[in-house]
Amino acid sequence: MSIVLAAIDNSAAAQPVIDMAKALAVAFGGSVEALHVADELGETATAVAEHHSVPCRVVSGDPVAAITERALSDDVIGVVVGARGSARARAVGHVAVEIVGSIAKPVLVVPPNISTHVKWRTALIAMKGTPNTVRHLDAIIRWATTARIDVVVVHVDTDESLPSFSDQAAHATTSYAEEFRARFLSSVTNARLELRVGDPVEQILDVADAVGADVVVVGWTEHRRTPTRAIAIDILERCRVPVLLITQNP
Amino acid sequence: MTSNLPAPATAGWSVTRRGFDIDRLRVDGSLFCLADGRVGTSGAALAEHAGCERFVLIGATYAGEGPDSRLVTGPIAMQLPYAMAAEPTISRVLDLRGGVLHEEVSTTKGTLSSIRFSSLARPGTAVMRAQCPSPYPEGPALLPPAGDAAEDLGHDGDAMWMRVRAAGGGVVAAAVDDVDQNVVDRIAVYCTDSTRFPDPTEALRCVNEARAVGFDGLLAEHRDAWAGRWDEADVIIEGDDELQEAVRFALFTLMASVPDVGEAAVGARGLSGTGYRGHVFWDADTFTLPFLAATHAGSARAMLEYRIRRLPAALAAAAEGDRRGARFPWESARTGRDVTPTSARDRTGAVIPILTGTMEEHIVSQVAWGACEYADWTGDDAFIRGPGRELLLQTARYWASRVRADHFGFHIDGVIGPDEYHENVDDNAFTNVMARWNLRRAADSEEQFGADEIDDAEIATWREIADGLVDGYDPATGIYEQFAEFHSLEPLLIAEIAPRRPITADLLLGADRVHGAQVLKQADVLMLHHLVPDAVVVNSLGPNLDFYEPRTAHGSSLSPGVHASLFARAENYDAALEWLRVASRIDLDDITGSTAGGLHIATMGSVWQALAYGFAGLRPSEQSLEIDPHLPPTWTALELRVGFRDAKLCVRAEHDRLCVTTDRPTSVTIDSTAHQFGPGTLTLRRVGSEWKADQ
Repeated sequence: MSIVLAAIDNSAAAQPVIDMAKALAVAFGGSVEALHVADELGETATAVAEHHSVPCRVVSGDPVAAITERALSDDVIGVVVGARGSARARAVGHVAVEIVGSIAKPVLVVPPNISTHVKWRTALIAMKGTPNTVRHLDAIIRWATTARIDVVVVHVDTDESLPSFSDQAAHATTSYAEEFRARFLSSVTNARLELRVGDPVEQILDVADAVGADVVVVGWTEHRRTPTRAIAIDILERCRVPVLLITQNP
Repeated sequence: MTSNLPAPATAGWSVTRRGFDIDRLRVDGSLFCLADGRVGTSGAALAEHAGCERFVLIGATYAGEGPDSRLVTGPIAMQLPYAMAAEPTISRVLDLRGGVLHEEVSTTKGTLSSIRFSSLARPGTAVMRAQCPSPYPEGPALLPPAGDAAEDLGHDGDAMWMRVRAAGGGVVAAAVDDVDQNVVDRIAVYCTDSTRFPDPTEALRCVNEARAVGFDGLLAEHRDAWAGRWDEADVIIEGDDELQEAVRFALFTLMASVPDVGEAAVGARGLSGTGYRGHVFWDADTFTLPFLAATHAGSARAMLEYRIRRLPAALAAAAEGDRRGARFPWESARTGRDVTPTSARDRTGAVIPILTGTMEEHIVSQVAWGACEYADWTGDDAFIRGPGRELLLQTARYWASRVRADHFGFHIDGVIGPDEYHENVDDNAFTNVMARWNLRRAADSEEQFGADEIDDAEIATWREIADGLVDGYDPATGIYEQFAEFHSLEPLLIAEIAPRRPITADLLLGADRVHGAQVLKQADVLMLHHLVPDAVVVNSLGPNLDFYEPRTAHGSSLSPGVHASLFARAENYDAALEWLRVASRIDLDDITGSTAGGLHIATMGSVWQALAYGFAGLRPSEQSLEIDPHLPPTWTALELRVGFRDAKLCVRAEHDRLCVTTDRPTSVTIDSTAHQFGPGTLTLRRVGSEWKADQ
């Protein structure tokens, strides 16, 4: 049995978290289990779970430790959390950040006040920079394809990664895009590639808005000083749709 | 039949790749492409792997029309029914001397070893011998093309044939296998017809003829053919082994990309990849042709034949623009009409208009310049008096009808120079000086060889326009202004503000910023000093190199080679070698990230030009071959083989000695002194700053 773990708190965020967990479960081919970490029983959390016919475990203790312990189980294939776990939490969702670094499984971070969908239509996959980064997203691309979600891949060049040469714009861009597709998107038949230049966060969010993305997929690394992590945190802070973090650490 | 596979090449004559890197599969497919001037077969491994791109490109044969036109792909012969192992290893050695690819790849059945080549002795013939890991399981000798549909196929005895339709005609391949247990010899022949769908008969006849010669015979004649080509064209650099290998790879690619009979449409990636759709640009005439004019005249002549046959289209294009003469297209394919796209999405995601097709008119002069390079190297009298004269005449007429006159002189408005960062500029120095050169050269040609149909008044007008064309030269500074008002643009030095060079400055700073700044993709003025040093003011290289190079991003793959040449002439050897290294390794190191789409043929031509025109200081003229060597301290010798007129020359430059060997009476000019000699060797020694002939 494959389980998508919906970590819900006793707030209005519980509803979108479970909605998104169900969407993720449909895409991954699993079922949803809710986990509510609280010292006292919260009625909102359990009521939302019951409304969605989702089994709900209630445990006490530290939320990160409790969610991580459950998420590490072999049957859990991904975790969904709200962007604001508690009143003391940072906007980026410290719970999500700590969990994704601990479990090496996809973590979907759901912003508050999101208007939910029952089905995802478009996934934006952010590929910035190196092939190594891209490789870790390969599984998620295949997932999106299998789930018949339209995939838009955005690749942003920064000053450091700008090409050395561009002889004829029409042909050079085509050649680069064809090679990029062949290397990294060969398993995806319906992916649209969007090339951009500039600040990765700005460009990724811009394309997400432009294509009406229902979810944005970004890479994540435990190494605190890497650009990939900084970009992911910026996107978590500012993105208006759920963000799926894919760990790149072995 | 023998199963022994010949040993690979020696150091300095090979490109080697060992191991397996999935990201390099397509890049290696371009690097190890085997071509014979007419047909290019990708260097994808013989065993199957999903990451390989396998193609056969048929030269000068296009599918589609207009901007979408592209080289047609032929049936695939170089694949065997073995799958690569789950964690494969590949060892490949490209023998540059013999034009043979040696390959060893692990498959699910065991090791598959092979050698293969595209016969230079029989262009259109691809040959393979494979030692299979098990008795050959049989399979079709031809598979459907990568990018086109096979129209039909059939068998004739044990030979198989397959046809593919192209615009106006098509291609037919015939192939046959000879199997002996684990060893399979395969011969495939490709025949094209540009006017009708080809009959399989000719391909079948050719494949049976080749089969009668047999693998060993085909290999021997192929190696002989390559030995002959290297004898005409080799370049030896003593003191830099890595550069030596890279230079030989460049020369190998150039020689393999162009046929030496008929017409040669040399696209930007030759026959090594589908990038740039096989369209022919100015860089074919400017950077590929001169090497061939100096080493294998038939190939240069075939490139010119491509332009000559499309002269009617160029005349029509000029007439449609209310001009006289010939307006050659920026991008050319089958018909000779312009096939440049009119818009495209760029790397920023923006849809941008493509203006090169309407404004990059210097292509007109470049066709004429290429013709004169051929004429000066070969002295081909029939060409000079015939189609070469016609090319000069019609291109000069175009410029004469293109200029605008005012009381300051003659102007050319609204163009794009090779520095494509600045569009729609007036009095571009490159365009104007090349037009001036074109007009004067045509005037000389008409006065020498012209017939009665050209009156003296027209020739006089050409000279008047040439004399009056504004070129932006400032005697006070010694600097040419790249175009009118260039000096008033934002004075940015890209060498100081860019994180590195080469770099695409238009992406780094944004296209609008670059349009308004003194930031260049490649320096138009310096390109003049490279291509027509006699048409710019004497001693103006230094000040212009000092001014323009720091403003140049080198975002064109042509720029490094040109600058290597100029820095060599200026004896700034550190800079010369730095840029030569970039140019020579552009595909070996996949510096552009686009080598998978094919090799940068013109960049490879620029490598030869840097060595020949820069370091060796060769320049052909109507009378003599000028030699003015500039040898970096780290090299002990530079040796080039070229053909000048009817003679085969070997020019060897050392720091204190210069030897020129010829097989016929020859004239060379060294330090302004003409030397008539030969057959034999002329030896000169450096005395102070001058070369003195041994008595």
